[in-house]
Amino acid sequence: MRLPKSVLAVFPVLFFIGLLLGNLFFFKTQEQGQKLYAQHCASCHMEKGEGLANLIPPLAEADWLAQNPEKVACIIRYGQTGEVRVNGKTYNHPMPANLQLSDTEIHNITNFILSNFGNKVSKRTFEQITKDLRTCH
Amino acid sequence: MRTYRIILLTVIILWSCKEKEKRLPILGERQAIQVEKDGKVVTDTLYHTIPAFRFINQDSVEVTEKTFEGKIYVTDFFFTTCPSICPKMKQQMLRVYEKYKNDDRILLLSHSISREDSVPVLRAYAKKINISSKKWHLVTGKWNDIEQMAKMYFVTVTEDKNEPGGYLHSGHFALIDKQRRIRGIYEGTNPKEVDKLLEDIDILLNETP
Repeated sequence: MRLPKSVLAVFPVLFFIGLLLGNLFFFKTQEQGQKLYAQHCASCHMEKGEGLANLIPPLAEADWLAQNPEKVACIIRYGQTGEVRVNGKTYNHPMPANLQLSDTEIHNITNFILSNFGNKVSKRTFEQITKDLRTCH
Repeated sequence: MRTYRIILLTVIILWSCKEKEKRLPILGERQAIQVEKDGKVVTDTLYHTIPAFRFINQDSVEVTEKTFEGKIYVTDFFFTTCPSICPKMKQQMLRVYEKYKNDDRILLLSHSISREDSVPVLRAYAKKINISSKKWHLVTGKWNDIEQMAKMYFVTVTEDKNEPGGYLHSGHFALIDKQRRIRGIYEGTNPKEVDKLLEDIDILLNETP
């Protein structure tokens, strides 16, 4: 079957529209992650993820994140108490919960952290995040 | 003759341009009062002055207005478990601490506004941000006393169950001179404002009385 030329010409156009939408979606989630980070995390973990002295652990180039990416979502939602060791230093200062954040918002924050501040941890899918959040304790 | 005049004029102009000593403003309400001086009644200005206080620091040592006698100091209000603006304030206050670590003319004073911040809690916090009580006092006291003092420094402090952490407060740093007058107020979470504070501290240290 042969398609008329005018129909064929539509394919590249569709292809580019798809690419554009994909990009928009990607940057939108990235941007949301960044905005949410600024709103909910930056006051303690600081704008560049540097943390504070021996009080608040850094997120920048944090070995803990590379080793425990599946725990990030739970900590964002429920906070954390007790000791945590990051880049060779031990921190022990309670982190408050953020119960107001939705699964999608936590997904975007998690991926923003995992792929910024010098971290190169593979991003988590939405399915992984919802699963992470079901297994919090 | 003309050349001399030009030179003279230039000297006069340059002289008048000589920079005046920089001084910081004195903040707060002021009152004109009549005082007797050398047998004559003269008018003097009464500035807003920080009253006496009595708190206890991270080493269980009493801290009063006498602790700051002959010194200038920077002060703020915070609490150790504050999830909103405090860590940023402390990050910025640490800049002041580091810069004047070995300068005896200046001290830092942070008041805790949380009833939960006991002396051991403050001590642990001081250790975590690695500061010495010789330079930086983290103090606690009766909540009402702290709240009253906050007003004196033009800082708002209230208890509010709906706020993250349970307290609402503004993140200002106040710069106090040797006469316990407020010479500057800065947004403690804003690095640019703290740059200004660092400049102002140097101006204040060099002010002639």
